[in-house]
Amino acid sequence: MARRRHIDLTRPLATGVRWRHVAWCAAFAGTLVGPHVTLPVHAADFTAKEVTTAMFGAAAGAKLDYSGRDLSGLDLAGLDFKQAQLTKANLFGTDLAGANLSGANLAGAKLDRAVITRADFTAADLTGVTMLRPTIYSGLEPDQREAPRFRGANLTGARIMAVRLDGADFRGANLTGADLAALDYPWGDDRGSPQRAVLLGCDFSGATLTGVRLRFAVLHFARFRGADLSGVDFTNADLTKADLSGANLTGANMTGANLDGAVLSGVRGLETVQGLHLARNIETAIR
Amino acid sequence: MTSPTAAVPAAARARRSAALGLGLIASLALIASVALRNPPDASAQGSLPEVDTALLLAVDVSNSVDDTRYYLQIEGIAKALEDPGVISAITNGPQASIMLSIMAWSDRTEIAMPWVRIASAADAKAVAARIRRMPRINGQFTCVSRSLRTIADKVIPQIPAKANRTVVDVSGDGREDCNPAEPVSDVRDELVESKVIINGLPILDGSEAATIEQWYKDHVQGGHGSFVIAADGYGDFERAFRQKFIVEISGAPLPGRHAAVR
Repeated sequence: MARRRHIDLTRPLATGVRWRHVAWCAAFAGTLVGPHVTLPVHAADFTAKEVTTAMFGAAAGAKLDYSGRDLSGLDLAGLDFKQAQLTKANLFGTDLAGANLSGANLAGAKLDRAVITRADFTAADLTGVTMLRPTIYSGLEPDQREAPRFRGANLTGARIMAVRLDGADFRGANLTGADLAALDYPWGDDRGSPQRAVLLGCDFSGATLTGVRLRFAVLHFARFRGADLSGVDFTNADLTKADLSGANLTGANMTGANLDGAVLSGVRGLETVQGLHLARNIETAIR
Repeated sequence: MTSPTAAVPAAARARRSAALGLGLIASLALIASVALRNPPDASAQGSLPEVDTALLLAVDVSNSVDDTRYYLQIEGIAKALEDPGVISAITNGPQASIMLSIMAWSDRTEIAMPWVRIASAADAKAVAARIRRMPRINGQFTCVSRSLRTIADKVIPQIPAKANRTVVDVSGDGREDCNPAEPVSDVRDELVESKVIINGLPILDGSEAATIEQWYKDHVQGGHGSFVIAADGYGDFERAFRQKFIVEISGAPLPGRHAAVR
């Protein structure tokens, strides 16, 4: 029997529920049928049990197809997706902690607010995904061991916004045209500044980042060894002690970037970098 | 490629027909909801081994369980596995084997030991040694409903065996305190509907010592032949657990006040 989640409005509400929507619905429904109403708040196409059972029962190489399906809000933590098809799937708020999504096809999927602690996206197709404010770490202090893995993944055109991804592994990944720039709110955040992507110690070695937007990104100790950084927008990014040795920086934009202690040895195309004269602390960079 | 949604077009048609009237919508939605939930055709279930019992031990690691209490539970489980009576119960069943897994539960759940097959005294002793080496897992609150939900949705569907009986063994020293989205008994009943037996091992210790046994009977225990055995404090956990373990594995009815059939 399929399970549907309801909120019993006669009981205290749990956290994590869309409070504002429920409150409005409750107010409206209460005027019609009294206080004893239950409202469906979960619209996923499957239950977590159904997805788990299907994935577990699938033979090797079967590649289950959830393309375009709504799996939002489900607890799918720890699940082996067995290279499933998840193109344009709705994974908003889905718990994918520790899930094995290696080799899965997630092109165009929505991963906004998803929990991706320790998730494995190795060699996954993440072309055009959106990943707004995902949950990466289980505690308040980032533990880099919990970072998801994107090694060899295709993140072409992905939008990864307002994220803290310390220690994530992007080695050999293709991020061509991806957007990891700061979120610009007209009103700023509570500190009056744009919400920056924080990518401390991320490893982009051997990755392709052609045309990636990394404006305002915090990239302390990030590794870009041998990466293709042509056309990357590093405007106002913080590259303190980042390792760019052997990277291709042709046509990149370093306006306002902080290069304090950054390693630039063997960098190609440095003469074509825009705004290099406006970069900060370039005199401390290691060439 | 295998589709878990054998009749997806039916769902799409149902959506497009929304303007045709409520009756038609309801009919199509019913058809679609059944069709959408069809399991995939490709299955790996055929190759799974048969065992007598799949036993999941759900161990409370909430804030009230300090290191001493945690290790009393773990040591109690390990010693039970080394007990000749328990080993005899395991190896004398029709399939002469069981599957065992341990899940730590509190405000979050974590599989402390994945499913392992025990088919001999050597297996049992090796698993006991493995249990003693398990890293300490900590938690905060006592989220029984959420833990049972994880068991129902994630743990039971992934038992790598065909088990004649599936038993969930919940131990703990407190009642639900997580303001759950679903009542504990609702999730319990869902598990029971899928033929899972849920036994309880409330530990009579602390402020809820006088009431926790009855709360387990009312909210946690469920399934044919299910029972609750209380441990009179953490020091009594080993005895209570060993007794419960033998009954769970052998499937024999438990005499006295503990037995219950739901």
